[in-house]
Amino acid sequence: MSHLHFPDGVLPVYLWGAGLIITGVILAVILYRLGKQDQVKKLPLVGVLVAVMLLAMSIPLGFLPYHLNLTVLSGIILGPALAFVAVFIVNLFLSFMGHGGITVVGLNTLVIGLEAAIGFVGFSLLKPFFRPTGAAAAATLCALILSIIFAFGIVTASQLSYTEIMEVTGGEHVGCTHPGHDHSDSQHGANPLVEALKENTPVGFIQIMSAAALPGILLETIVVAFIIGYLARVKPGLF
Amino acid sequence: MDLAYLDYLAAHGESPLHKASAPSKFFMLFIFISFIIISHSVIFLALSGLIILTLFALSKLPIKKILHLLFYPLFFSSVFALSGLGGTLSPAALVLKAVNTAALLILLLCTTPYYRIFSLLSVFLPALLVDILFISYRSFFLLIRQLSGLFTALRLRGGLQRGRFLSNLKNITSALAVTLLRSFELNERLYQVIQLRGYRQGFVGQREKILWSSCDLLPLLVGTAAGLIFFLL
Repeated sequence: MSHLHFPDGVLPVYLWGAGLIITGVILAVILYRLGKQDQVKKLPLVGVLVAVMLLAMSIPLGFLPYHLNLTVLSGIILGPALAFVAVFIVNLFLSFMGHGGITVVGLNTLVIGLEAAIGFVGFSLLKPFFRPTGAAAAATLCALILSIIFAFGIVTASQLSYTEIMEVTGGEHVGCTHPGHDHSDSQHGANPLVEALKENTPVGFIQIMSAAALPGILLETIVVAFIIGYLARVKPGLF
Repeated sequence: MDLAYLDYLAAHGESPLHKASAPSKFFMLFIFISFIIISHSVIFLALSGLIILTLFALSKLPIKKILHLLFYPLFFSSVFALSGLGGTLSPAALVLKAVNTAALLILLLCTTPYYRIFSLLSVFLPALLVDILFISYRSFFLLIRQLSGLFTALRLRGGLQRGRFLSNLKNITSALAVTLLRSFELNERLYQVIQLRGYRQGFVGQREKILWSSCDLLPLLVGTAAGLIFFLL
């Protein structure tokens, strides 16, 4: 569990609806470009890497209730755009197996797609300065931590009421839904976004999930770094 | 996450739900999941759980072997519920929503072969995406055979032993790295096949003809019943 797959029914409709729309738009742009550029050669590679990710997830890790993902590895090999497509397909497969919901496929794709993108960017930036293993380890660690922060951000956003979102985005204030909610600070110039987040950040949830995710993050980092090191030795032209 | 096992169950089942067409099962799923998501009633959600359990029993699926798949939605939604998240929803409703939806999707996967699901998805998804889905599915089964062989070799040579977590992890990682290398070879071969046959988007070709039967009544009735129960409660 180095990253979160939201299940169905726990997030409000406006959030997962937005997730589906954003993912749909990103996918449409990527697929349109893929079709235009005649990148047929990359088509099987995406499919094969989806299969590798699903295979890695199927491997039991002994007593640990975790599974590998290899999302960052896919990001490094495929690049952020194609990795986004691969992540969407993996999430679609996983949702049919109860691992992450079908309505939240969009949000899960955004979270894990971001992981792949950060992994790719991080590895590209660090590659000239470090050996592939070190660059991959650092990139994976950063990607997993940032993606989990993004996921926590989504959970926090799910706790904001409609009126608070309107306030934060500068929309019309139509009254507060929380009986004990005092708006005196925001009336005196305090940042409404900071105030809303202070009040709604689910600290308990973040603490539990961080503790649960930490071993998974370390495990994934070690495995990805090792695989990249191995590939760099036997297939040096790949990176 | 034993995709191969679920695929086996879908391909070898003989129950009415296995024989029902994919569109009728999708209809049931769509109606059921929609009501589960909008419902706040614990009674409706608990009843839905019972109906889903009955469907599993009717489909003669080995519930004990599939049950572990519900661990993730159960765990995640429990953390959500125990942390006081979920707004006006009660903790029980939150957990039931996540578990019921996941169980329904697993039911679909265990009773419908993947190619039928893809065939139906191709109506909504772009052809390029469906092509990648098919390649992924095919590659998964080609690669799982190779990985299983590697794991058997590892076990025979004492590479996977109880209590030796770090050593096991190192060997598992090596096996994965080798599988990844083979996947590149597989990619090259698939590309050559695509080139040779002359690729055009949507090589999945014609959609499967839907054959309606009396078995379709079951998912259609269950979907309708779910809607009725929702409005009655």
